Amino acid sequence: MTSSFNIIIELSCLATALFFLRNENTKFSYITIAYLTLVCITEILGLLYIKTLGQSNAWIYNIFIIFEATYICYGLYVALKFSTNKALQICSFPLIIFCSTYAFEVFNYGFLKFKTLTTTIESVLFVFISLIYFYLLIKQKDPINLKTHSPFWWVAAVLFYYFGSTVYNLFIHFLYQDFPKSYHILSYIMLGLNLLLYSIWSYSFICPSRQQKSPLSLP
Amino acid sequence: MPFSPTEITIIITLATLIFLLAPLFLLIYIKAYNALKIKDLEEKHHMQLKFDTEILKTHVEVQEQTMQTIATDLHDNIGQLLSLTTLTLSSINLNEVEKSEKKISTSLNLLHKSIKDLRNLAKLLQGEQLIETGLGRAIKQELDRLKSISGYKIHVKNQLLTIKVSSPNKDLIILRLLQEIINNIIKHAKATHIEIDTFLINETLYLNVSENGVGFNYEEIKCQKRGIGLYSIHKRVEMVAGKIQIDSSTSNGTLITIEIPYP
Repeated sequence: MTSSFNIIIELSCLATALFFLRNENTKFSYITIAYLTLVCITEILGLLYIKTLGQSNAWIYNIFIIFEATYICYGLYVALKFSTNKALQICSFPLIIFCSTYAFEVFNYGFLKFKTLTTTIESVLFVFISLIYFYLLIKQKDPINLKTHSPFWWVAAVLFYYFGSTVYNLFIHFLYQDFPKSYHILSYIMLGLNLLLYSIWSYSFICPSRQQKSPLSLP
Repeated sequence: MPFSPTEITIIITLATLIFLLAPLFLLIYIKAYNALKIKDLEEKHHMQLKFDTEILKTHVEVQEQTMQTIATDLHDNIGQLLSLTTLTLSSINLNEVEKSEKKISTSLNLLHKSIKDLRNLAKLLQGEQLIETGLGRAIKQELDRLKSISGYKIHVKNQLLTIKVSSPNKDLIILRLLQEIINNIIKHAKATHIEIDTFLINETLYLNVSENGVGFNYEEIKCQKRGIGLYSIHKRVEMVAGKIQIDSSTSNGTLITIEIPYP
């Protein structure tokens, strides 16, 4: 049931992105729409696969996390590039680590097992880069209009999702093996985190249109 | 002690909530800090506006002072000289050649003096140029005016004539400060001797003015909030982030020391 809710949340976010970002004509808006479409396709495919064949759909998500890591790194780069000229180096670092851990896990555990180590390390790195963004935001002299500053909300969603999913990443194996009865709590946690991530992202997609209407002069 | 599935569920839920609270507090902090930055920016903008208004006001005051000087000079000096010239010329008797020559020569001298004074007045009329030529020159001109119109013994040590740096807005305020101090001396001090010392050391401009007038109880005037001139001097010194010290007591004259970061 949580999977269906997840799909609804993701489809809503995609609809918001299509509605508010279609006229933006930026590289980030096109990539975001493409990524959210991929998210929805992956979720629907994953659900159909497990319902019809009754087999693990981990390999679908193993492919998906490549796109996820790339998109998050790109999004963080877009947010950071206005605050520092080292944004490219900072944001390419998680991608290099991702490739290394991904290759390591494929080599050691095969392609069909979900890449837990890779996602855990990536989560930590994304949290770290989000904190760098907020640090630079505090450090910068000029204030911003937070209500309409879309990069702020986009990065806030990333921070909430990846910091919040730390518990999920740490407990997933432990619960799966020792407390199968409590395993369902993780799916609810993931549903809550997804709701948080996609609703804040949806708000960040609305921000540019709010900025155009707002009489405030702050960026 | 092994945990029950319910306990595990509660622990995981609580742990996730705590992990979500941390970013939430961070965002609240950023929001508060950003609000402070906005407030600070608004205050700076407000102060800049106030400063610009004061500069404009100072411009007008300097111009008014100049016009007043010109009016006084035209009436008391050049006007008198020309009247005297007219009187001398009208008293010429062409039959008395020797006397006439003497009177014409006197008239010519009076006319030359009038022309010289008119030239000095013309310089004063170029209000903006007064500052453009440098603070040292502007102060010199102001003190020359004081020397020409009064019977004061004036001792000037103006070391700003040779300085290479300038700050147009500050220059205008400093000049106005000096004008205000001189006006106060003329109006209230009943002094006979004035000493003015200006110099620049380590990016600090010093303006010291002392006189031997009647003096006043500075603290009393400050407490009673009397003395618009004094208030205006204090406000202007504050505007240029300077310091002012006034040493005065009844019958012992006054010493004003002003320090201003410069340029």
